[in-house]
Amino acid sequence: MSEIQKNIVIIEDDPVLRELTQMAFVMEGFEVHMFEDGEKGIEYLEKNLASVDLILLDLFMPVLDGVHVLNWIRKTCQSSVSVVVMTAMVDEETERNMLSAGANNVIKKPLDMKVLLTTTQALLNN
Amino acid sequence: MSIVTVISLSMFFEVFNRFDRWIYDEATIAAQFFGSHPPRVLLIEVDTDYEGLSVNSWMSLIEQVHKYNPEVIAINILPWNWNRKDINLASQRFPLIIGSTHPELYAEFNNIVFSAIPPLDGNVYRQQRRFESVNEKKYQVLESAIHRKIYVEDNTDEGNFYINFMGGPGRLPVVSSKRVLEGGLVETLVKDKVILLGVKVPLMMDMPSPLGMMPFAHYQAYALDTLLNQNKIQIADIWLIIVLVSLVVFAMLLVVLKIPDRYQLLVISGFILSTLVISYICIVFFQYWIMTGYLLITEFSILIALLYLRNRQNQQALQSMALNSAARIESHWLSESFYSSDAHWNHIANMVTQTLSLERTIFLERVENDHRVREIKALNCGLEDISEMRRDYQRTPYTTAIEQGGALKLKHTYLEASADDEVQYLVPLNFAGNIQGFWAFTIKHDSTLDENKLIDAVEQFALQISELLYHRSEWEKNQQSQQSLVVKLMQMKFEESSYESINRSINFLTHRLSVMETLMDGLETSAILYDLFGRVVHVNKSMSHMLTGINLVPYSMSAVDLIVKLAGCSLIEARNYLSYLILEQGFINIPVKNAGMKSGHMLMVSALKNTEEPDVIEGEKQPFEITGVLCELIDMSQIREVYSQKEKVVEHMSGWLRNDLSSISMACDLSQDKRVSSDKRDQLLQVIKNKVMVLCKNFEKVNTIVQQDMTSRLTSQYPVDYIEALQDAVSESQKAHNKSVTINPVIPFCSPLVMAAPKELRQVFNAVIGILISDALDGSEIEVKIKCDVKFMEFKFTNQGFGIPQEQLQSYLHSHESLDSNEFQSLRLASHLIDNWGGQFEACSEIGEGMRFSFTLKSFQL
Repeated sequence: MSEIQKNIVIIEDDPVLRELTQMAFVMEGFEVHMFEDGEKGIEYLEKNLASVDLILLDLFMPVLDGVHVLNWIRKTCQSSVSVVVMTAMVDEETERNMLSAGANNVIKKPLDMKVLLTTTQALLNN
Repeated sequence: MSIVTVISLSMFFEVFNRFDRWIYDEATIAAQFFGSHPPRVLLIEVDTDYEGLSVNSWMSLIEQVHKYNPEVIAINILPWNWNRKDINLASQRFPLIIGSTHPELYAEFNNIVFSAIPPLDGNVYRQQRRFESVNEKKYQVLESAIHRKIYVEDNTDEGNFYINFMGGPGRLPVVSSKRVLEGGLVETLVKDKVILLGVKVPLMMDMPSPLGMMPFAHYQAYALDTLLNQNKIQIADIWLIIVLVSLVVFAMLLVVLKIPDRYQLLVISGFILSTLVISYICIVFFQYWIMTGYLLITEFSILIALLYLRNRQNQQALQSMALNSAARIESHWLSESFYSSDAHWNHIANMVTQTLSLERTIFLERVENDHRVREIKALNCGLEDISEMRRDYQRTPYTTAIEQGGALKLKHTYLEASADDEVQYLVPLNFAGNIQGFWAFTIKHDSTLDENKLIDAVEQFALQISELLYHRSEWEKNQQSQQSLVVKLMQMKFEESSYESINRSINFLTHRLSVMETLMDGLETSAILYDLFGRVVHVNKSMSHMLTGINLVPYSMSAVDLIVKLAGCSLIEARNYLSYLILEQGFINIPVKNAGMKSGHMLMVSALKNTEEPDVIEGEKQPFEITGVLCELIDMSQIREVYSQKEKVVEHMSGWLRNDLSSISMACDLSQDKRVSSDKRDQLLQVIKNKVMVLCKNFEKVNTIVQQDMTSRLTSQYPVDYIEALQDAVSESQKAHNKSVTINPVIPFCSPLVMAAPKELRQVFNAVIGILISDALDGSEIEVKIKCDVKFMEFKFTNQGFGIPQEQLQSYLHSHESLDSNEFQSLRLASHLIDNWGGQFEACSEIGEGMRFSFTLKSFQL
């Protein structure tokens, strides 16, 4: 359990999965902010990026996809905040592209709660 | 009847006899090369000295001859200067026989006989008499008298005899009287011979004989020699000839009818040659003439009759075959019931009306031998609706339509009671160069209708209907010809000759063949037809174009060569393919592996089996059941695209599935956590339940989409991946316009599928980008922005170009007039397509700025 409450942002278009992920992280003592697409996520991050410890980012979203958000974080904001990309695309090329674009980790769907939490924890500890 | 006439006339003019005698003469001349009996006669010509030869000289001449002991001395004509005393003196001194033309004047002399002119046989002398009657008293002819004097016992034969001329003109020795008087005679010439002193009678012309023109004395010498050598020519008896001719006829017919046609001429020629050889042998060795001329005429007659009959039989068979074929071909096209009932025209009228969405339609046919038209069939109108009352196709508007040679859009009302938005057309129905009738129709004005396409379709229909009208007119003519004989005679109408009938059928067949060839050429599938032996029968245009594109010459390649070149297999493999096809009568599909061709083609090779009922006697088999080999190049790219699109749907489905499974998995994990309250757990279980239900529904939905026939025009929308279509359109348009315009569309990383039709979506992109490139400034950039919304994809295309007035652009897009510009016509169609797919199309243009097109397409949502 974290002694200082860590701030996590979840950008995911599927409302059910978003809620469930939030529930899992809240139960683990994280402060969670959720957004349904990249545009809204960036809107929040523009103001609060410095206070965010980790971003869980879905790749495939309407309006503005995860790639745009990741590029914005790394290129526009030059931020080193931890970003975990969640994707339903299972090809290795996508994974390589995301890592090279600045993602700290790529988790393939379907999500496993334990893997998600472990990965997140590891990134936060580092 | 004609045979009897020919025979009667031939008999009257002695044609047979003349021919036979001509052959006889020729045979006689030909026989001169063979040896004959030694001559028994010496002819002493008393010619140039005749007038000056005194009685004493005569006596001296006879004395010269007599001293060598001849058998008989004869003078053919009593010398004119001899008196009775001279005759008496000469007769006492020498064994003398004298010929005279008036023996009755010298009745007291036993040795004065008749010197007879021989009977004429046609125009030639061939015979000699034995006796001649003068004043009912019978006198012996000179030659006969000499013969009888030597052969006393021979007194039976009193008829004429045929002289044997064989041995030729020089066979008998001839000496002149001058030589004799000069003592030039030798004993071997005279001893035991009959000496004929031949007087040349003044004013007496030479006589035509088988050996040519001959003096009378020479002729007599030949006659005398014939009698003395007893080798006169025997002429076959008429009954024997009849028997011989009958035998020849019988033998020839017996042989000729039993042998194959090709040997008949040879056999008859053999008969003719045998007849000639036999008759030659008969006359040379047996002095027997078998009337060869009659036999030859008989044989030639049989030959001619046979040739005539065979030719006639062949002609009849050919005619019958051709007529049967003609009838069969015609019955293949259309049955009689087609013309005799109105039902088929109802069907045609309904079919064209529905297919072309016509409002009203009327078919008019040309009245035979008139320049009027009458109604065949009308739908939603009638003949009375036609505003012009003359119905005369030699006047407008018919003449204008004929001059135009196709569908004429009428500016004035032709069919009355026309609605405001009704457009009228008049189409001439022309077949085989003749106007068969007209087709008038109306359509409702529709801005979206491509008029050019409509006219094309109308003209295709018009061609077919013209042909039907032509057959109908032919059928009506045929019906009229079934009238009574009297009516036909009154109208001077006779049966159609077989030539006309066959010619008509051939014309129709040629037309059909041309239609079939055009059809094959028009096929999108590239096809090449080979006969059973692998030789090219027909290559359609598409195949020809395709093969030429990869440097292959279709007509110089066999089926095996084609398979080798296209499938990239070995010669043995290609032969194995073909032998399998021919033996199994099936088909094979071979992927095309030619470096010069685009991938995605399949070579389908199939055996063409003769499925028609064989027209042969039961038990007999057709030599070949396979009539040819058809090679088709099937473009699989469309099918590939369909499968590719379906694959994309499944890929997306996989994404959604993983998302939903994530929810289920997370919910499961959370529900097992002890920190979760029971209420929350229940909610989590409900989430799982809902997600499972959604998953099942989505599975069903995707399954339905995958099962959908994406090639069918009836289904207008599918989930389509637009990226490839857009990229292709960009590269194709850039190539087509040859302009240095940059287009770099920024495609979102995760683009959803859009709801559209794959082929038409390409057309939309092509139309939009095509216009923008046309309008763009050289070296400029066309900006393409693509935005994904939850429900829609938005595409924005902007160029830097010349632009056109906004009003003009809107008019192009929304007016009902047909456009000359293909580009804007395509843009208008693109706009309609997007509307149909549930999207929105917007177009802006400003002069000096350029154009902007934006449209939305529905995203695929489960």
